[in-house]
Parts: sequence; C-alpha cells; structure tokens
Amino acid sequence: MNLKKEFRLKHIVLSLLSSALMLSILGLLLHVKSGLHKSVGDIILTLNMETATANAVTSVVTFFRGIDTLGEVTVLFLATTGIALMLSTSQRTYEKVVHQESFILNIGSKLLLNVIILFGVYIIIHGHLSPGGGFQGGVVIATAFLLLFLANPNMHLNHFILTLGESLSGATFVLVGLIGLFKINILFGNFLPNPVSEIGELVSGGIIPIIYIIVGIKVGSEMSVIVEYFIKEDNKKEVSNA
Amino acid sequence: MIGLIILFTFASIIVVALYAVLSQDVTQAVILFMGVGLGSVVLFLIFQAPDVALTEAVIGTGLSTAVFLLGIRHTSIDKEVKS
Repeated sequence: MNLKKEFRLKHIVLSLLSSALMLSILGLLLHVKSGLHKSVGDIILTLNMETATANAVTSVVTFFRGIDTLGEVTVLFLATTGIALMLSTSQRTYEKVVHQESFILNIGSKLLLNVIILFGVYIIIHGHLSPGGGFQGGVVIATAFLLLFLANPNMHLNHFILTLGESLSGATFVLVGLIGLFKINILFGNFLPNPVSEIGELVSGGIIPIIYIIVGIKVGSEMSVIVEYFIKEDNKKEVSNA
Repeated sequence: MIGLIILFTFASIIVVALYAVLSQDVTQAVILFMGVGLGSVVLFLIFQAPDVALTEAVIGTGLSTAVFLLGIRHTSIDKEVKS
C-alpha cells in the first residue's frame, strides 16, 4: 500500500514538472517579438514562391524534404508488414460473428461512409492548396473502413486490390523521385512545369499533387489493412470464447 | 482574449492529463488521453499550424484511440476483473 502511494506521488510530481515546463515554453513563445529575427521559416517562404504551391508546408514536405517523406512511407510499410506477420493466420476463413450490431450504428455507418471517404479524397487532392495532404487523407479513408468494420464485422476487404494499389503507388513514388534525379539532378525535383501565375489552382505545383495522391493511396490501403487485422483478431477471440 | 483562451486550453490539457495518469480504469485513461489530443488540436490551430492540427485530430484522437480500444477489448482486462 505504501509503495503504491509513493508511486502515485512520483506521478503527480512528474506531471507538475512537465506542466511547468510547458508553461515556461508558452511564456517564451508569447514574448518572442515577430519580425526581429530572420529564421529558417522566412528563407523557406521566399524559396516557396518558386514551387508555386499555396500551402507552404506541402512544398517543404514533398520537395525540400522529399527524402524524409520517403523514409516515413518506408517506416509505415515496415509497420504494416510487422502487424501482418504477427496477426495474420494461415487460414483466411474466419467464423461468422453472430451478434447483431445496433440499428443506429448500421444506418449511421451507411450514411457517414460516403461523406468520410469524400472528405479524405478532398484532403488528398487539395493537399497543395489547403491544410492536409496524403498522410492525413489516407488515415481519414482508413477511419471510414474502421466504421464499416464496426458496423458489419463479417465484411472482408479485397486484399489483392489493396496490395496491388499499395505496391504500385510505392513504386511510382520512388520512380517520380528518380525521374527528378535524372532530369534536373535533384532527388524529388519538380520536373513538371510549375508557373507561379497558376498558384492556388487545382492543377498547379508540378509533381506535388501527384506525390500526394500516390502517398494517399499508399497510406489509405496500409491503414485499412492494419484496421482489418485488428478487428478480425478481435472477432476470432470472441468466437473462441463463445 | 486569445491569451486567455490559450491559458485555459493549457490548463485543461494539464488537468485531463493528470486525470489520465491517475485513473485506475484503462478504458477511462484512453478516453482521457484522447481529450489531451483534442486540447492540443486547439493549441496547434491557435499557433497557426493547421497541418499539424489536422494530423493530430486524425491520427492522435481518431485512429490511435480506436487501436488502443481494440487492443484493450482484445486483452480484456476489464472483463476478467469484473467476472
């Protein structure tokens, strides 16, 4: 009992210390006067005019730091592979779950599914104009599939199409980077025409919308597979319990 | 005014995080952790980082909470304690 109390006291002290740190950082942030220092952000903003994307973050993520994005996609691919190795079993046929989900969840999921997928596609396509991009849109699409699985546990995703889309988009991503390397000597260089006069239009920014659509397909399929493995693992446990 | 909103959001994040650390129920802790993410979404928006706010809203409060809850239901700590 005494040990437990000590443990909780340590937790409280740690939380208070970290909150004091957060508050001091907040005070620093509020007291920095803008316009005095020329930071990396200013340099990137002036460079951003060349890439002609309305959303400055996008040009950093896909152009100045394109190789970082490639690393992130690789990490996500490895995570999906690990989860598939751990959770997938040799027999693909799961027993049917008999319990009925609630009426509200059934009807609500059917209504909401199209809206969520539409929102995810919007985030992906408008990645270079407004906040968001391939990663966020892909995860939004995966949450739509999560809702579908919650409402209807006996559903199956077509793994062939998902695997095909995931590998093709990954290969195209590397290919786009290599084309930039060979054409203008920069890995993930913007080799398509990107005139500054077209800034803010849907088709602008050269290869950046293409990269975001590719990343969106890749992340969406990988996250959907992860969600399906988690839900199916859960169903298997329920069947074995009953 | 905006400083007051920031301070209020910071204070609520700290309170919710304390509750999440101290709560005995795992499910309750996960839901409170989602509240921490929600508060940070508001802070990111105020500090003009809508990209990060969108990422935090989708991944931090959406998908990771779902994966945590699925994991809890799979390991079923609560069920064993109650039965």
